[in-house]
Amino acid sequence: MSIFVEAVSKTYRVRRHEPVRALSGIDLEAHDGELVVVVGPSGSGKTTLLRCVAGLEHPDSGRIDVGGSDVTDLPPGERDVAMVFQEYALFPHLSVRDNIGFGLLARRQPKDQVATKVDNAAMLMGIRDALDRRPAQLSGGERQRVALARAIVRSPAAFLLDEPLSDLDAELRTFMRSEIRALQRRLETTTLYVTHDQTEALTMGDRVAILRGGRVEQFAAPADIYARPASTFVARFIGTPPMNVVPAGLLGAGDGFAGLRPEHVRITPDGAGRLQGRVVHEDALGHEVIVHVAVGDEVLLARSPVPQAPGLHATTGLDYDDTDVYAFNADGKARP
Amino acid sequence: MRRSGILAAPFLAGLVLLVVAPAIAAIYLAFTQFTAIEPPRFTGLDNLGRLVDDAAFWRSLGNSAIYVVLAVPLRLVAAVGFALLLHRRSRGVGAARAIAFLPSVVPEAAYALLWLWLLNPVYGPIPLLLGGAAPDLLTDPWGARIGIALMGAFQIGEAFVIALAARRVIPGSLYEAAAVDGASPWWTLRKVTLPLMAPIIALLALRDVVLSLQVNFVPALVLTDGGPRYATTYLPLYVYRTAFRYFRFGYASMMTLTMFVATACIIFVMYRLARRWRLV
Repeated sequence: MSIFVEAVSKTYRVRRHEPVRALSGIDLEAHDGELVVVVGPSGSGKTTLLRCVAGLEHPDSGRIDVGGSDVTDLPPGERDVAMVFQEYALFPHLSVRDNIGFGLLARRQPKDQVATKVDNAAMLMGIRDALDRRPAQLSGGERQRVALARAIVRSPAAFLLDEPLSDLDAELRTFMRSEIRALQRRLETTTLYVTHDQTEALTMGDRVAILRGGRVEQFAAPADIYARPASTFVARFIGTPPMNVVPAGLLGAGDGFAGLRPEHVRITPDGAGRLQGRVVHEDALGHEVIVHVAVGDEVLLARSPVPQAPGLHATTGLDYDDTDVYAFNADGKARP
Repeated sequence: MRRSGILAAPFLAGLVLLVVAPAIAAIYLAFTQFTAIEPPRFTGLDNLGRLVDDAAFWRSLGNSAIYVVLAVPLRLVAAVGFALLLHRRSRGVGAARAIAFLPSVVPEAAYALLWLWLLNPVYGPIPLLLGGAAPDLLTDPWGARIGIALMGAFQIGEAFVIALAARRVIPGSLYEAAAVDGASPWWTLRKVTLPLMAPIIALLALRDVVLSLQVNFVPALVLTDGGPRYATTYLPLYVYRTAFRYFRFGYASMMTLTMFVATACIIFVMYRLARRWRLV
């Protein structure tokens, strides 16, 4: 089942406050079985977009399709979507079993069928032992699994996940990331996945939509976004560490801005190389060092193997190949 | 430690003088004959024996029980109902909340006088409005019981505020999860809202039962003077009359003691039920 979002706009109006335009003309689609990640900084409208698809917000204009039918004016319960909330939104007074079965029972499905489905979903998520416990007695990771089980038990047309991993610690987050991806591949359920974490976006998404100020800045496969960022915003947002974006003149690339990935900046001995600068900061990551080099008024980041790192406050040369330089216009858009 | 003792002293003194000492005195008096003219004379369990044979006492106890059964559910439904209606912020809600609270602020005697007018069988607006369809409120025994319960149903201020707070602490995301899961408003009320508010509702019920056994003295005195045919002679009113009209302080103390024990028993049973239903 596919999801289509067409020209969706949403403005929040609160009395005695300036109206906030959260979404302006969003176009987006997720094909059947695809996992589309919506990523952007806070305030970019990604959660509003997801809530519009879920039916928790009504767009001012535009159209939303789920599974081939127009759901723009349908209430959330009639859209055949399941949502996983950031803080899981588990019912604290219900057992894990009743939490997972809540939606099925609310739709008046026979109790024995519900029991079977709940059991299967719990088995899939590895939480069968926890079925009789309450949410307060579970760890963060287990709660996350219950929230996912509650979503998959209904076999909906689409999953909507709103920053599902942000409440987990780093180790568990990496683990759940691959687990959610594997689950989604197995169930082949179309999924919209909202996150502010670009690593999550690149590693999980079949395609990634980058939102900025309520607009889609770029919508493409992760590899394409990394290889061909559509704007300086995307270039600065994606990658760890992100791309260096400096006035083009500094890299001898004409007008506008020029981008250069830190892995394409080579540290050379002082005096050698096309640029000269001074090391102002170092992030030692163990296997490599991110060297921050001040060149004129700009700071360029370079990834360097540990032995070659020049050391703090040292003056150093930097070198790069012209083929690695990305050209952007003065308005920030990528030059074709 | 010493300073906190000094700070607590005025309160402790008041507590001992005005609550503890009279309570102990009342327990002692319950086993005496005392008319306030002669010194109390110890009579052992005579008062209790007389109580068992006193039809008026049993009738008063029954009346009090009827009042609890009529008034407590009515008040709970009103308080929780208004809280559910008025928990959202929107135009007019502030005023509506104030109106819901207002009857609880009116002094009790004035409030009772107001209802005496409202329910008056000859010119009261409520009987006039209901026409011949209504029972004779105040003049018929059951009518009077219902009338007094009705009057109490509007004094829900504190319970309303507590229920309102209980509703407002339920996270909105639970309602969104329920909506996405396709739960109807009625299903959500039954399976989400009420269970999550249940501990507070149980607490309100407990408190209201205790208050209803003790604090329906003024309406019974002002509205019906215990009548008609003793239908609204609640236990507190009977105790008051026994003590201050017939000067049988010892006997009245025994009734008070009985009421205290009965209240404690009710609280115990309700608490055990709440525990079994995992509400507290």
